[in-house]
Amino acid sequence: MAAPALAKGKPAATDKFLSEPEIAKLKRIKVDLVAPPMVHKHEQVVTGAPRIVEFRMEIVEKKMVIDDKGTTLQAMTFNGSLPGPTMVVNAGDYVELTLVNLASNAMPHNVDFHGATGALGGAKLTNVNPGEQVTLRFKADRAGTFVYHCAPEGMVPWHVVAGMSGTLMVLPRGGLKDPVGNPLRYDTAYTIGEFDLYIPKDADGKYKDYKTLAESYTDTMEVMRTLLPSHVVFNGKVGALTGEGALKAKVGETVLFIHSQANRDTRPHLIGGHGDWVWETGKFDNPPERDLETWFIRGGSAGAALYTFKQPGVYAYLNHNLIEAFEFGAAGHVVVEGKWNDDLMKQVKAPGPTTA
Amino acid sequence: MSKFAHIAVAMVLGAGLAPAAAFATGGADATLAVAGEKLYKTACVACHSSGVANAPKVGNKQVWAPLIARGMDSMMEIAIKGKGAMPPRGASSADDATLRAAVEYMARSSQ
Repeated sequence: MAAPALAKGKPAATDKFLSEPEIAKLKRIKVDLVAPPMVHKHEQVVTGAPRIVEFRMEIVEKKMVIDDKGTTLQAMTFNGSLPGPTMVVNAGDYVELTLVNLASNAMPHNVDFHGATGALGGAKLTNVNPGEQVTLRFKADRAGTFVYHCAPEGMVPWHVVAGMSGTLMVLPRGGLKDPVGNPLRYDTAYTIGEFDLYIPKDADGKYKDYKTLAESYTDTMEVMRTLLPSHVVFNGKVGALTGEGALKAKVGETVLFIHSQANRDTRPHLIGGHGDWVWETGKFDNPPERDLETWFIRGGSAGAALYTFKQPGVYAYLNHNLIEAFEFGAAGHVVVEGKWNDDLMKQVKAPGPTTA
Repeated sequence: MSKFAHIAVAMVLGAGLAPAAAFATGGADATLAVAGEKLYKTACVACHSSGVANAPKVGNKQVWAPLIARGMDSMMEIAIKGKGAMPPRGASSADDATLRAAVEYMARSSQ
């Protein structure tokens, strides 16, 4: 049996350290982020020296409608979206993020990258008040999908469940590989952020609407302490990834589904499909598992699944606690074009009256 | 809870007693004092219960003493305009009177 080649060897973190003059000589590239579920253009395989990849994110506090009944969330966001945009670099590159806290915001914020080393993930070095900005650099020396989130001392869970999380994807320089080292490539990457929301209700059982972010604090904390979310949504809203917002693919296309959950466990599943190759703990230097029906994302992590579509139709991508999916909102669609394959599945006889 | 508070207030007023709040200046302010405490517990508490971004923690006599010494006008100026990580009006939609009552509640609880 072939050994899982990628599981061998020292952790990436023991690579040699560069001095500041050496880092200054590295090539810089600037990346414009795009809104989820899309992921900005990137290379899956790179050669040559590490680069410094510059990103800029604005923190935006705003009231958002989170379901079709008009329920509102006093949300806190990176770049105005839930989740924040996905950032992609290659292992060994440096991430250089400028974080802007808009003057129109009310709260102090920061950012903790699970893909970074030291200073509480960068949180200690990125505290910004409204009207301030800060720039942080860190070496992305471990491959994988990693959560990033806001973590202001004293109010961490509130900022996270109000929307402040996203994914940093650090691809191995040689690209993704299966357990025996064969290359794995994708045609499209989609990023899905799952959010457990805790919207307070009034005495009549109706969801409360707040004039300001601060005024939602105490009631929201009370609901959070029950550990019972009122909504569980993909990308900020019940139905965000259905209808107009549905993900798209073609038969034969390989899609990478990145799934982040910064606070609470989830169990993604593609109805009618599978996870061909899945890193459910999200770290690419470990061998992926194949043929998974349902995988598991730990609260506080991001995972990734590859799937090559073989049949056309509308698929559902959801959290397979089906109550969380269909009652609370954690479900989306993938609309796939192409030719039906009778060998994989055929309706031999359509439904009709029972016969003796 | 607020129902009980109203009953308590009514009883106090009915008995012709002045509200006991040290910072309250007028007799009709008992209701306002309740609103102030409510505002604190709704919004201000987000930062001032634990001292987020160096917010003066309610109950910490040492950090509040110099603020209280500078007086209500000085504290209200910060409350209305904001300072550092403290947003204007503590990011609430409260009017000046309620805001003042919340500041009074915080100061009173920190003496």
